Amino acid sequence: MSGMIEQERYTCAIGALQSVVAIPRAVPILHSGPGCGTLFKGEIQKTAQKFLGLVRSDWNIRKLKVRLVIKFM
Amino acid sequence: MENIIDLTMPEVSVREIRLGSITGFAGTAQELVDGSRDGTLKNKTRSFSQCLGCSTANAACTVILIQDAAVISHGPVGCSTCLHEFAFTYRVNAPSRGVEKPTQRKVFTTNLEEKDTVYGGGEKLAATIREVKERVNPSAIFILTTCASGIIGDDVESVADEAEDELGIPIIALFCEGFRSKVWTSGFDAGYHGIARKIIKPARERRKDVINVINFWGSNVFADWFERLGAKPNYITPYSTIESLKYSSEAAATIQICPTLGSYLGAVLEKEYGVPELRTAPPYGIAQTERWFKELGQLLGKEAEAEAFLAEQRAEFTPKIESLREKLKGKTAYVTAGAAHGHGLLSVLAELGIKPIGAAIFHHDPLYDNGCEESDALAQAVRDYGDVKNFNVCNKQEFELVNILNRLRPDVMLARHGGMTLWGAKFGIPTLLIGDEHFGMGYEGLVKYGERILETIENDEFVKNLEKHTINPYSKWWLEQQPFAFLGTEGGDE
Repeated sequence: MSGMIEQERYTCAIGALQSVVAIPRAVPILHSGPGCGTLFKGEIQKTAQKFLGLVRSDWNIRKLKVRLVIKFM
Repeated sequence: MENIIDLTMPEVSVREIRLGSITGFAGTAQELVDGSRDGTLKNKTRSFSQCLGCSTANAACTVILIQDAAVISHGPVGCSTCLHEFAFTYRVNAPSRGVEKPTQRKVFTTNLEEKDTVYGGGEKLAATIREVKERVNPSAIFILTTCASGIIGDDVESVADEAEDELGIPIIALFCEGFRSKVWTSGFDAGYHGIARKIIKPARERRKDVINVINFWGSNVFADWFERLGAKPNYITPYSTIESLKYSSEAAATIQICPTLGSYLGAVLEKEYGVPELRTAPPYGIAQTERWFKELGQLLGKEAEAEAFLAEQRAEFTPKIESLREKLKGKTAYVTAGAAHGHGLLSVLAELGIKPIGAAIFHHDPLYDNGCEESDALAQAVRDYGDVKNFNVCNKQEFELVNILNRLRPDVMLARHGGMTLWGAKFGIPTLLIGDEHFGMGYEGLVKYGERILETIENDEFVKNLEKHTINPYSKWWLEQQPFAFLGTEGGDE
């Protein structure tokens, strides 16, 4: 069993967002609760030069949203 | 709408249910105020949404900055990924609150993993609480719940109660799972609910010389102001101690620097512990500053002292305000901020002769927990200075903000949260973020804010250059759509 952590200085697998925003014209769609992206956003904004803002699709991911993201870019 | 305060319950209900708060609206400020009164206010959902804030971070904000408390995030490691930022906040703002040696914040996570979501995280939590007591010996331990612990249904309250019996210090479960609410300030209520249930004790005496100030980490302006009324501030909760919180029930009054923050605790302190809450909205703009000090003077039985103080302030700052008005005449501004603070900024702008041509405010509470119309800072701003067009309730949907800024092109943008200012700058709009929430209060606040706004407008070379070299990540297609194309349309989240 993994133990508790004191003064944590890293994050969870949502860190994958950073890999996506680093790719020109790629946008991550986060399939998560409403705030998960924001908890991580501070980290991501430091490196992303051209940053659309994270797209959230909590609860149900819809085709509509995927189409929209493409249009936004 | 029902105002529910029940300290026997582990949880406080979220703002959508408790206050009828909304996160989607487009119209004018007057329409929003009217709708909040006549019962026609209805939330508009978005069929497209970017990220929102998370209640767990807001609950953390109310407890991490207590000097001698420890905080455990009961969830996967990612849910506490931003909590170390409070260590920075605590350190940089400590000098203004007289904390000479700011200690490291005591932040922990139970680090739930996949296996724990199957077998339960209760034991891990109990073990973590013991370990935290052993390592940092705090005066109290707060537990933040997360979506994961909520979904698996860990009985966090029982674990906290059992540990409390074992260790002999208050151990408080805060129910602030992110998915409970789209109004992330529900997290503040969760934090204050826990403090009210398990930290605050009934008053031993009534003190005439202490005033509760529910705030963030703003500068210590209240010490000087209250001194004139023979009182001193008891700041809740940043830089407080468990001991100072315990007897906040003995204060002569509670004031809100931002009713969006302290709505719930102010009402609890009044209804459960008999501490009267100052009803009128925070002191932004001359008219409201006058009302605020007079009401505070009345509450403390120090009317003459309050009048004398106001007379001095008037004499000292009115000429400076006049000269700022002269320089700022005809300028336009856009505001993006949390609810009551954003409303306060509208008053500051209008008082300085700047026209607020729009606002994106993160949510809207029709009324606060005290149920009092006088506390509504937006209604006050509209009454004193007139309507504000392009008033948008928008939980940090940057795509809407970008679209609106592109259309309105104000002379200056005021923001209260990091990450919002960059959009103004990319459009070449001088943008100002002031983190100190007490900065614009009172007569002196108008002068201070006015000077900063002037300085920001005059020094626009950087943002003008930035605009020339910035590639807007949003497509031409989006900038040509109506800003609220996805608000209240088919397929919105329920």
